[in-house]
Amino acid sequence: MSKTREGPGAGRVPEKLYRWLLRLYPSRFREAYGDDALQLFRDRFRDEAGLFLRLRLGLDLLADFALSFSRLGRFRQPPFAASSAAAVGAPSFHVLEGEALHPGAMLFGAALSLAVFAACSYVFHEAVNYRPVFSAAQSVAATSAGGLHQPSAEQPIPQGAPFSALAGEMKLDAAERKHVIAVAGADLERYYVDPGVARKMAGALLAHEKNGDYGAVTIIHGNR
Amino acid sequence: MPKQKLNPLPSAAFQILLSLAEEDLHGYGIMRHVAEQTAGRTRLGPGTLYSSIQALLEEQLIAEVDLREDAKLGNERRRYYRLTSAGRKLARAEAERLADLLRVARSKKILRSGYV
Repeated sequence: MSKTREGPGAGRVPEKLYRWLLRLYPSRFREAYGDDALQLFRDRFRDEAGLFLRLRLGLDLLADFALSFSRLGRFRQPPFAASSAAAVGAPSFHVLEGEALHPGAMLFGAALSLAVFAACSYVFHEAVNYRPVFSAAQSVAATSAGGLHQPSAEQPIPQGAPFSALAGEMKLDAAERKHVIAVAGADLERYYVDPGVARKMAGALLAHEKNGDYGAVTIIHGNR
Repeated sequence: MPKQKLNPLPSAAFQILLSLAEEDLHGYGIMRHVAEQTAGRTRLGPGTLYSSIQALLEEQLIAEVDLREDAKLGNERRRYYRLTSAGRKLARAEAERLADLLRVARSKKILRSGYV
């Protein structure tokens, strides 16, 4: 785009906004008529004073941008034209604009790429090192037993500890064990697909528990 | 004869040709003339105005004449445009086409005879 001439309206917020709108037009249009379009805006802005007329001007410009989009096809470049930056020894990119890439744009692109790369690396690193606070076994036991083993001050769970270490701290006494089995039996009867089989399994669990068959079970092991 | 790109002639292009019929004008002058000759119904925005001007220039229906100041609008130098003979011929042909349409509309009683 050729250098825009400064006029009496330069610096005004509406003109700045219109300059931004002009950037959305094809670069060849801006090269050919950017100054004239800006001058047209200044003329209308000067001549159309008052809230209503200024509002109408703004709406006109927005409507014109939307409606003239198809007409501006003659100003568009073929897609992905090779940048002329290659001619001066800079890296060659395929870009929508025909203009050579500005050194500042190259620097900005490099900084942005580094920032995105660093952010992605951080996210991946955190994802690899992530450990759930609750193991699956803890969740089941805590849910079934009414929150008996939710983490507490007495039983802190170290961050980043492996599953085996978490499971090793899940100890059961006789009362808890009895409660867990009772809840498991009730859940079986409630949710199992075959109610008859569920009743038999729940009865067997309770019978084993009464017989002391589960007396040796004092630890819930987590998945490994 | 109109070239392929402007066949049919868009309304904005026709209005621009009409606005240049009597004098050379710059972009803002064309816009104001078009607004006057359409009783304010058409206000050409920059996108429509300059894309139409570009099309008319490519078809040699108008020509860029010079760069000069408009005393009424300050000391900015502006591009002025002039209607070419081909442009005048095309504008006349388009006006005759519209006049024919108008006659048909009147004969069908779509328009009353007193209109226009």
